[in-house]
Amino acid sequence: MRAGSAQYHRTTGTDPGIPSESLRSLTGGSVLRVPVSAHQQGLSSTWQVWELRRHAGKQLSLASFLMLLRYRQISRSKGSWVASMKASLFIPCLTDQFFPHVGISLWKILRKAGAEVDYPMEQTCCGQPAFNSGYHMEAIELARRFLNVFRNSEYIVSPSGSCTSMVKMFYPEILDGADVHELLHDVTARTYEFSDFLVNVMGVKDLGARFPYRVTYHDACHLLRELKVKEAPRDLMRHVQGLELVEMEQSESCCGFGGTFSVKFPDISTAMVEDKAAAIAKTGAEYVVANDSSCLMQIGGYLSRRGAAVKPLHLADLLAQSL
Amino acid sequence: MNLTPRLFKSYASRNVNNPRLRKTFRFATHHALEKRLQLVQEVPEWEALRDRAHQIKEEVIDHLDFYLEGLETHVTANGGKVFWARDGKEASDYIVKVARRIRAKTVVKSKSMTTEEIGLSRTLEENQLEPVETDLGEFIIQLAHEWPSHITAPALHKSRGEVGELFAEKLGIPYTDVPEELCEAARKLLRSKFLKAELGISGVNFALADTGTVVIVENEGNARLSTTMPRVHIAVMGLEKVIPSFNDLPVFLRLLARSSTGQKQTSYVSLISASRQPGELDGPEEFHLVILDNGRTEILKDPRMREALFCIRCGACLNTCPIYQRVGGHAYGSVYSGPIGAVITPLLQGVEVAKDLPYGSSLCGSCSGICPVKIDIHHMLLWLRQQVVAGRHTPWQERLAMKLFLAGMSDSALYRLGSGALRLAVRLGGAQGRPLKVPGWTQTRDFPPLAERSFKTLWKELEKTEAGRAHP
Amino acid sequence: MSSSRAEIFGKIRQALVKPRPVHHHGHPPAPADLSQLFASAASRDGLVEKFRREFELVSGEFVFCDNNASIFEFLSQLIQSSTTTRIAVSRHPICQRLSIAKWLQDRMPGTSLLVEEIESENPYARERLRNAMAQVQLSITGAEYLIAESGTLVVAAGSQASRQISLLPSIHAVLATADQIYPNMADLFLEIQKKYGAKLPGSALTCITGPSRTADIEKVLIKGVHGPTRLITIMVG
Repeated sequence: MRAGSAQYHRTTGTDPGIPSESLRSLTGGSVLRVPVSAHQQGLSSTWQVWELRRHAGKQLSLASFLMLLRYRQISRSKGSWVASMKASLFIPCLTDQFFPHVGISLWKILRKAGAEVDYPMEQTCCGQPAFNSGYHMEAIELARRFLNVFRNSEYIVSPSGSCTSMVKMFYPEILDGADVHELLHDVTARTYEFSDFLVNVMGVKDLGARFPYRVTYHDACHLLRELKVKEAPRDLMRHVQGLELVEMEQSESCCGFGGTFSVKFPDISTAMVEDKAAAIAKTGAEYVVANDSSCLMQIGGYLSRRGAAVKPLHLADLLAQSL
Repeated sequence: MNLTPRLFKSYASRNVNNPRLRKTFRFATHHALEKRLQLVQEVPEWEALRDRAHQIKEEVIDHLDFYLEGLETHVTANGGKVFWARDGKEASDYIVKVARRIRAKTVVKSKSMTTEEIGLSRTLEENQLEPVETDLGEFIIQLAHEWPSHITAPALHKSRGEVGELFAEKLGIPYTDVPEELCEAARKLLRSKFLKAELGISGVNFALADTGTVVIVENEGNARLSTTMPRVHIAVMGLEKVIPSFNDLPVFLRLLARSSTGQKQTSYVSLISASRQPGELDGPEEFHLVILDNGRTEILKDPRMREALFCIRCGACLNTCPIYQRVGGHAYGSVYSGPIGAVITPLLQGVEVAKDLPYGSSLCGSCSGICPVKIDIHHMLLWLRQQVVAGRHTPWQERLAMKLFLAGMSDSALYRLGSGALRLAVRLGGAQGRPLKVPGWTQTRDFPPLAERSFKTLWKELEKTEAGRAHP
Repeated sequence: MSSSRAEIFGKIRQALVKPRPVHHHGHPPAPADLSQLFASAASRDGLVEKFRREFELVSGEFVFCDNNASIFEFLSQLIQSSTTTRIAVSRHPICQRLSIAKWLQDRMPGTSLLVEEIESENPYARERLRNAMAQVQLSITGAEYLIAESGTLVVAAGSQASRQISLLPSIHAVLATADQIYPNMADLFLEIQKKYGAKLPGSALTCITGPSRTADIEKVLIKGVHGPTRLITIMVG
């Protein structure tokens, strides 16, 4: 389990609470989410405690459990014990301007999964466009800004693997040796791409979504190769009712977006999306799903120009269908 | 086409619109990748091997002076002669000097990227020597006066028909496009050259510091012939090719052929420690090792770029690169193409000359993912972009746009103002809800319309309704 | 010249003053122990069969002969079926032990035999040997070692065999024994180092894995470019 810095303390609210890091340390690093089936609903709390301990492993003592309960770090929700977490939305500028519905979907999903969600209004851009174009000075300024905007957030969750990797992988590169070292480590450790966050931090795979269509999934490069997230989105889709996931050939090949690459080298970029579109068409899918609006803009833009029937869909939008 | 990376953009765009070339490169690269994948999956230690290889290269590059001295000591002790060349000219001049001394006329060369890099054949020709490329692919491009389009398969871009026409014209044989017949024609001609050549020149895949051995990896046997038949053998290596020990070689050899051609081992791996020893029946009478700098110590100076010197020239990053797959090697305008070429060329020739190369990447990272020595190729491209910007080699419009971008993104009030102004402009222009026009994009793809309301606006509304729900 | 050397070393030492940056993405430490890195190919069971499988995968031809008669029977069939008339035999101990040259002289009339027995310090003799070797169709030699993982034969240049005998003829037949097989390259290299230290045997060691090949024209695989078209291992039982 990826645990962030253990020294961090939440500063919002009057009750400092116990930090969720210690919640996880109490449970031996595993995430507390204990399904309680319907027939156990009426059982005594002693039984429930036992159930919880059984699922969390031996590390969770009764005293710890009571402490968690007292600080409302865990609660019952629809027949499950859930650890309440506070997630701040990190909505990239492209999503903000062109695909705001993805942000709304993410809010719905996180709330459904049991997290408290907020959105720091001060946020703008993580600096990736500048960084990727070689303008590191500009990127460094925006990176510092980002760290300050999100310094009080418990978790920072984004619907983009690319922008998440900017924060997690590249902030440490460009802010190396700077005065923000501790804050940097602190914030980047708590930043997650949303499918990774749902599955690997919250332990939620089933959001009760229904989507009776044939879909295929495109592995966005940064999510896959910088953040190494491949299974989480698929796990989430496997738990969607009625959804048929058909893998495309070369799902790991780049769609050709690559930021300014797509306009600096339009011929190559188009040649790449051409092959991606062909692979998508081969699956007979009705929707092509990805976790990054930028890839979907590239794929969708090409598909719509070609008048193809298959539609681009962000995984967050898919999961929020029935919410 | 000229051998210059300045024209990358136009070369790339020309090649990507050439359907035959695209088909050729697509087939060849996918073919190599499939063979590679199959073999790699059979090796459970693959990741550990990559990490170990990376570690060995780290050790060498961090103590390069030590290992080069070791190599020199052992080669000399084995009776070989070591020559240090600061640049291509010094290396070429030395080779010409040796050729003159032994009165050589014909010089057989086995495939070597380093000698391509310094344009050795041209220098030899200018000095009335006859350089003969003996690797089939290199032989083809030598006849065609071209440069390699792939690190390990230099004539990848040539169809059998083109080779047939080339051979008919230059070798005077009847036209055929049967690869076996073309190969036979080359074999016959080259065999006669091998038997009469006085000087043989090879590259070096690895040089072992503790034994003074050079290792040459190949499939055809031409490197073995070039290093066996002539009276003198000169091996030319970039100074980064040294590895500490004989014991390290198996690590690299288990990685190299699998990564490069999808073979467990290539047909021949020669470990040459010396010229013919007393009692031996054949082999050259002299062995020279030319150790070349030619800009490598400049790469060494930049700690972030040092990893570029780890490269073992397997060509896997070319095969997996979606850009290389579509534009081919010649587009890069340098003998080193593909992702690693986009790193090495600007470092060897200067970022101002090759400033488009680092940008010719979607940063997908599959190069770093496949590299057998785990060079962080695509992240190095990002740092090279920074060098391009730092050297003020980007257009002023772009620099201005970045300043405005930074200003707009540094202040959320300004950001919101800009976002509102953008929407107003779209509405006034009557383009509301219609796809935007973006130069470079809209020719082939639709650009999405600006959302009617940004997420920030939607969130504020949401907060109001949620608050209303909580406190009715 | 020496100034180039000094300048290059100066530049290297100056450059190395600055350390490499610490990797944020990190490279996990790998085992330095060579045999651990080859663990999946370390088993010593069924080495002959493993070698055979790998050798055949690289288009090598493998034949097992459990007595001298069957070796000679195989060779005579090979000579007849390939219409070979010019044959070279190396002075490798296994060729001498089996008296290959003598058998060819006695039993194979119509073939001309080249034995690598020359005064090696006489350049004219070497020249003659080379010209004769260029005409040979079939060579019969031994090997120093075999590697099972990749189906590789390792030959050494020395007084017992030239470099060219495994290279110029179009068919190369190698006599080998099961005890020469190592599971993988790491085991073999560790063994070689134990035995020879920093001074490797002979001026050249060559690992041969299958016949000479190219795929330089449209990726079409062609066997026998500059070296042998056929490579045969005769496993002597």
